[in-house]
Amino acid sequence: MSKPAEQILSFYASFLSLKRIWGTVLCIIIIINIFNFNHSLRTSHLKRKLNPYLFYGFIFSGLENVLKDVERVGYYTDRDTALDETAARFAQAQYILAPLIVDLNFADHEFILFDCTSEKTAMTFIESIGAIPIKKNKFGIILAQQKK
Amino acid sequence: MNLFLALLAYFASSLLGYFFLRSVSTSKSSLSLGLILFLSPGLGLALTAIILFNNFILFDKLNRLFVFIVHGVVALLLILFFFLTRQKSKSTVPSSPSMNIFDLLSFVVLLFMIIPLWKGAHIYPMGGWDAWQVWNFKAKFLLLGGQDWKNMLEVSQWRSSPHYPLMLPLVIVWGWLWTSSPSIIVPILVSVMYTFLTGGLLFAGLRQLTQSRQAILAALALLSLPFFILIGTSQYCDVLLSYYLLASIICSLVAYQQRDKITAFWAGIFLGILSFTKPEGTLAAFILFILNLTFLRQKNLSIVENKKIRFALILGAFLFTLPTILFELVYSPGNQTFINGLSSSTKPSDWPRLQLTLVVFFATFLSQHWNGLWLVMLGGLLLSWKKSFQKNLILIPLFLGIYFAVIIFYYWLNTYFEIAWWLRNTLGRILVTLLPVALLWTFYALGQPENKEKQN
Repeated sequence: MSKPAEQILSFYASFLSLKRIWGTVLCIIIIINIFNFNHSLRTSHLKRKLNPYLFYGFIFSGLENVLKDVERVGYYTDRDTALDETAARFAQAQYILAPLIVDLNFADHEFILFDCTSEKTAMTFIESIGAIPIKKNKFGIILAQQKK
Repeated sequence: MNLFLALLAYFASSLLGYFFLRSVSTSKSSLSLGLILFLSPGLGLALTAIILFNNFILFDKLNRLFVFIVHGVVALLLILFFFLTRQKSKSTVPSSPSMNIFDLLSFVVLLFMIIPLWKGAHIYPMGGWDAWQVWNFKAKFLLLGGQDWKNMLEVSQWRSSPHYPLMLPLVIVWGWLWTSSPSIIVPILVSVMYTFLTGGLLFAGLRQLTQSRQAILAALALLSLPFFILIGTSQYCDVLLSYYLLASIICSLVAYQQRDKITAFWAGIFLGILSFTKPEGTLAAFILFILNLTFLRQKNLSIVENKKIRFALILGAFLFTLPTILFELVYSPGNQTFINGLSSSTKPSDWPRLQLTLVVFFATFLSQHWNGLWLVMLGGLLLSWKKSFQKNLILIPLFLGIYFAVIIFYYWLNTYFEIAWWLRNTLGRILVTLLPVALLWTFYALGQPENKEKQN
């Protein structure tokens, strides 16, 4: 083989080394990732415009002042506690109301939060345990007090 | 305004880390400027977390004045020490290490990656489920709970994993101390910061270890991966674990490469910090510590020199593991979500559980989350097969092998959770924390010159 031909071959061979091919594949993945992420960001923002971000915990706000000096509060719901959504509501209530401890064993506490499917259901239960509703926030969460 | 104040808080912590790193350095210490830049914030934030943790030990509640005064005193002492050692002997303390044009350009490219991270972090501004239920929840107790802060560690709060160490909540509290309220921007900023720092650290570590320009590809592969961005910016602690794990491994490798006891000291320190992030971090720190005791021993060094290097590692690890030890001994209520399947008759660790764990474990590497990245890494390791297991980086495959084995065993042993649900929700995150280390391994093996083994 002539010398120029060898040089041309070795020039192309240097580009076709396994390491270079590997690096090229990685570069392609990086580029695809950047485009994918950009696309998913735009999709997420579009979805957000149609369905604003929902953090269930916010529905428990507005009760902080009443519960300022309280360390623990009971929590009652008539929702199916096996559902993820119900678990999320409870966990997010705990986060929003922290450093207050929110306890599912509501009967032990002087103050109880009622997070029910309807106000009527909540009021019926409040009456049945002899508690007194003391505050309702704009999201329908009722805080009741029972004698201890 | 809150963002500005939070940035100021974390910049102040980063300065602590910078002066700590620089003041302990000697002429033999060989961390590059890039590594110093990307290690300083992590080290500084750990110092901040330790100061805050000591505050709770001393006062049993948050004492703002104490926290700020101690930060000021520590900063002054470190700066003083830094300038004193510089003046004492200019020959023993290195002048500022410099960056070349490629490093600067790469740094600018990496800075641009903050934009997608910042945007990604706002998709779920309250973070993922564990973010508010475990980490931000505890941060709120620490900030607002007064003397009742320990209520968060009650057994009844098992959903919040009260046995988890407090590094991330303490870092968030530091930001909230500056914003004066539990602003959501602080956990967002923390998550973006650590995600970015992990990418930057990977780049700087590879540049120091291999001098290869491909280091930027490793960082970009990490910071462009949507799943890494998602987990990193979800305000979970996994990204802290990932960062400190990477930091301790890079320092170990540099300590081995340069035969440097100061860097071994940093490796020990980062191991200690790693143990304060999550129980998985404690496990990783323990494995790495044991491996390092053997790994850092070199045949061509005298017994005394080898002892010095290992002593530096042990000293750093001991000092920075103290918060974890104290937390575990004094505050942790123990793992409330643990059933020993080997002794339980109702929930035994059976063969189908192990089978499912193994199948899902291997299948997770092929998940679409990674866009083929693990396969590409495997390809890279196959290309440099012999070098991948050379003595100078055997630490990584050994660590990964042992860590994976222990994790799989734990999935099998602890039968508290339904295994399919547990694997689905956690295994991907575990792999995310190990991804930077796996990239480091691949690129370090590929970036080594052929005669590297002979050099060592």
